[in-house]
Amino acid sequence: MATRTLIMIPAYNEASCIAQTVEEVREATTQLHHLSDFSILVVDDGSRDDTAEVCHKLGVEVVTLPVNLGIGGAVQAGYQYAQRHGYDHSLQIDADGQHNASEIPLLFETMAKTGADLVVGSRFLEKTDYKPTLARKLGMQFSRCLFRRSTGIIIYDTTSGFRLSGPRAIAYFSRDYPTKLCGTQSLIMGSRRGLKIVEVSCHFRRRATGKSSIVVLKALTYPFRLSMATLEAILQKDS
Amino acid sequence: MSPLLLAIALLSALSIMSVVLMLIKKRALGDEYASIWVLVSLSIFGSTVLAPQLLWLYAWLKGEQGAGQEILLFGALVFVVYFLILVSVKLTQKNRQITKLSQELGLLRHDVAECREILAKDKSPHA
Repeated sequence: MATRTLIMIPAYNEASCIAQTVEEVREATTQLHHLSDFSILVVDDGSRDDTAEVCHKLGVEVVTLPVNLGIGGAVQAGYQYAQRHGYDHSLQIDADGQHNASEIPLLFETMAKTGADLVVGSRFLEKTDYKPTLARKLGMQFSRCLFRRSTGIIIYDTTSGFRLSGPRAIAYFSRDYPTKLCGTQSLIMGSRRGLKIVEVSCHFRRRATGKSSIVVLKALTYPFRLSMATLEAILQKDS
Repeated sequence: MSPLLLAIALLSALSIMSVVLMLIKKRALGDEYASIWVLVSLSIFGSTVLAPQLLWLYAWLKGEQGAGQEILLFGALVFVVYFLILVSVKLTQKNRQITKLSQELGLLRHDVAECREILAKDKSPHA
């Protein structure tokens, strides 16, 4: 029996690029029926633009959150949807078109090969044409170091939003998902609760339109916020 | 700073820090408030242990004020800190409730829309 996969796209004010991303994902997954039955879900995180309307016109499932919860709240809503509708896998992909939908099979292959609960598509595992800014590079280095210290495993791209989750990860994250710095913190939480996390090299693109959520003030306070997030993930028990 | 006041300051700083850590562990303090309170407790502890002369309270009280008043004012400061921590805990609780309710509302709205679609299809003459 074919497994069912939910492709969840968290989106906040992404009306300008969501259609392109959805079309790309659709096109890529039509050729992947041998892997799984795919459904697309856009989690509209209280957008003030026409993100939800654009998605409705495209005929994809949309969960519209009444207020903007931030990326963590939107992703968790996606996991809750996957859990309630009995999906076997959940694939998270960014709405801004940074991720290459044609690389979805890579994540499935890695999950099948390694038996991982969570596969992270990584920009930095191997040398790719992705060129991060210096601030992002330093942040990534710090995040990697903290991640290794707190979990004992090495993940090169802890903030990547291109992830494939298996049933155990869906069950866990639908209950418990961080709201801030959710990329790194969710990996630490998952790893400390026994989820097997592996990484596979992927090619990311620069976002074409819209605005990144990473701004100067956020970048400057990132080390402290990340240290706090790590402390929380270490101290806290399962909810 | 009198030894008594120093001992009280140290104990208060340690208790604030342990309360903050306990609240983080129990998930009673949200990310945004946890960061602030860890910073506050660290700075109270740091300024008490490393440089008591930096304590604004000490500087303000230095002079003709007696030890009794110093202790009273320090107690008031600690009370204010604990009260604000309590407010943070309440705000965290409310934030979590809002998040849960918003997610639930979003998912339920989706289910209702789906049900309506199915009903409309069933009712349509071509169904």
